[in-house]
Amino acid sequence: MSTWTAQPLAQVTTRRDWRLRLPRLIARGVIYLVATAIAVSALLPFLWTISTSLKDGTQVLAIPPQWIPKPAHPENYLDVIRTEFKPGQRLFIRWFRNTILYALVSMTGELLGCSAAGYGFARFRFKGRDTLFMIMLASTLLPWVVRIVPLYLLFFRLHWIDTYWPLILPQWFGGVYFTFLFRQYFVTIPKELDDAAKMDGASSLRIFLWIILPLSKPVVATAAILSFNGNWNRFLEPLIFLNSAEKFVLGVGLRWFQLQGVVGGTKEPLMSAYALIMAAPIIILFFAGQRYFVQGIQLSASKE
Amino acid sequence: MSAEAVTKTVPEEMKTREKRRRRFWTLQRKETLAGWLWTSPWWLGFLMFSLYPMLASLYYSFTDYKVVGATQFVGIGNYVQAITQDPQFWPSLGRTAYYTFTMVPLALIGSLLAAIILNQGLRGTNLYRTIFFLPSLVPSVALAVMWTWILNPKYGMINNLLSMIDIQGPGWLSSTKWAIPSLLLMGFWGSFGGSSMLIFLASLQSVPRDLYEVAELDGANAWRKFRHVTVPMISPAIMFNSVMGTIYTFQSFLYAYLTTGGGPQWATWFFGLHIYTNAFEYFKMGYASALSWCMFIIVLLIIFIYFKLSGRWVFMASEGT
Repeated sequence: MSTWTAQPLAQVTTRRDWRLRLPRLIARGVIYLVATAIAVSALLPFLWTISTSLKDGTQVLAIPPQWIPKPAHPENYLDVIRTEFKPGQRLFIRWFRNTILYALVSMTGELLGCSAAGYGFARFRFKGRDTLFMIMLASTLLPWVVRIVPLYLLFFRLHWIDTYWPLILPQWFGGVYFTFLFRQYFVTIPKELDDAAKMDGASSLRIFLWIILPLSKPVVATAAILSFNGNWNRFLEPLIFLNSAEKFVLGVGLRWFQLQGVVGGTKEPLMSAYALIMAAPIIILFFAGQRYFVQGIQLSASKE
Repeated sequence: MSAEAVTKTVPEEMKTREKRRRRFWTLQRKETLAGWLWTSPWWLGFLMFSLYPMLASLYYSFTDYKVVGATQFVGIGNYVQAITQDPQFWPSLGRTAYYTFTMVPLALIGSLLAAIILNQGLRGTNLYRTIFFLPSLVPSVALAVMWTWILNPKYGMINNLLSMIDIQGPGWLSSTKWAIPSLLLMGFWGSFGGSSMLIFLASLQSVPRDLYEVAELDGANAWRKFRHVTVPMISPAIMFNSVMGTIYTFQSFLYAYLTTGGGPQWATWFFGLHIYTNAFEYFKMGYASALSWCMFIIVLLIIFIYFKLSGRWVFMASEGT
C-alpha cells in the first residue's frame, strides 16, 4: 500500500523552521483526532450491544445505563440456543445449520458458474461477446423489485415455495459481480500458457481446470469470502420464499423472534446476543481473509 | 494434420462432405460456440432470472393478477389507479426521494472522508481501516435489532449519551419527524466504511504523486490540491459510488421494514415497502408489478440524468485499467 506523507521539496524547507512546521503538526493532530472520533462512533454500537447482551431484564432498564453490567449474564448466549422459538422446538441450532448450508451451497454454485462465465469472456473471441459483456454490466442497474414478483409467481407455479430451490438455483447461474471479477483476473494470465497447452491438444475444459484455475487462487478466495458473506446476510429472499419455521435461516429467525411478544426490555438481551452470534462468523471470516475482502471490492470498481 | 492424412484414403464422397463440414466448423465458429457455451451460466441466468421476470412483470402490470382467482386484463388501469387514487403513491415516492438524496451525499462524504484519512499514512492505518469496515459487515437484521435498542428514547445509548451533556434526545424511530433521520443514521453507520470507502481508497492511491508536487510548486494549499487535483482524478470513483448508491438506496426499505414497519403514521413508508406490501402481504401481484415498473422508470431516469451530467465533471484519464 502506497502511503503519501509529505512532499520532499516542502520537507527540505520546513524541517528546520518550526514556525512552518507547527501548522503541519496541528493538521496532523486534527487528522488523528477525526480518525479516532470516527473509530469510536463505529465501535460504540458494538460495545453497547455486547453490554446489552450480558444484562438481565431489569439491568437493561436501568437509568443511567450500566455499561458493564454487574453481575454479567453470559448465560444469555446459551439461552438463545435454548429458547423454544416454537413450543417444544429450540430451532436456533437448526437455523444456524440451515444458514451455513445455504451459504455454502450458494457459494459453490456462484464460484462454478461465475468462474466458467468469466473464463468465457476472458479467453474466447466470439461474435457478440462485447455486446453480451455490455449487457452484463448494464444489468447491474436493473432494480431488484421488478424481478421479484414474477420470480415468486414462477416458483409458486413450480411448487417451490417453502423449499430452498428459489434461493439456491439462481445462484448457480453466474451473477454479474463475480463473473466480472473472474474475467478481470483471468485476462491478466498470459495467453501463451493456454496456447502451449492447446498445441499439446488440450481442450478448453482442461485448460480451464489445469491452467487457469490453479493460477487464480487469490481471486477464488476473494469470491468465496464475498459470496459466503453475501449469502449469510441475505434476508429478503429467504423471507419471501420460506414459510415454515424449521426452514428459516438466521436472519428470518431473528425477525421472527423480534415480532414475538412485546419489545421493550426483557427480550433485548437475548436479541442482542442473537444478533452478535449472527454477525460473529462474518467478522471472523473478515479477519481471516481481510486482504481478499479489500482486493475483491476494489477490483469490482474498475469497471466504470 | 492427422485429419488430412485420413482424408486421402477415404472415398471421394466422404471427402467432400468432410470438406463442407470443415468449412462450416472453421476455427472462428468453433471459438464462437465455445465462447457462448462457457458464458452460458451468465446468459442463461440472465434470461431466466432477469429478462423473463422483467417482461413477465411488464405483462402482469396490465392485469389484476392475484395468485388465486381469475386474472383479467385491465390495460393501464393499475397505473392510473397508482397515480391518481393510491393515497400512498406520491407520499411514499417523496419519502424515498428525501431518504435517497440525503443518504447518497452523506454516505459519499462520509466514505470519502474515511478514505482520505486512511490515505494519510497515519500510524495504525490498518487498525483504523478494520474498525471503519466492521459496521458494514453486520447483517441487516442484526443491525436493525442493534439500532432499535440504541435508539430507544428512554433506555437507548444515544439519548443517554445526549442526556450526559443535558440534551433531551428526540423520540427517534417512534417520532414521525425523527424516524427518517434515524434510518439515515443507521444506514450511514452501516455503510460509510464499506465498499465505497474501499473504492475511494483504491482510487486515491492511484492518483500520481507528481500532480501534487506540481500543484505545490504552483503554490496550491491543501484545499486547492484537493479541489483541483484529487477530485478530478477520483471523479470516476465518485460517479461509480453515486450511481450504485442511488440505485441501491432508492430501492431499499429493509431498515424501515425491520424497525418501524413503515410507521409511525406512514412516516417511513418507502416506495419499496409499498411494493413489497402490495405484493407479499396483499398478494396484489398485478398492482405491485405496475408499481415496480414505475420504480424502474424512475431509476432509469435518475441513471440517465447522472450520465448526462457526468460528461461535465467526470474525468477519464485513459481507457482501460
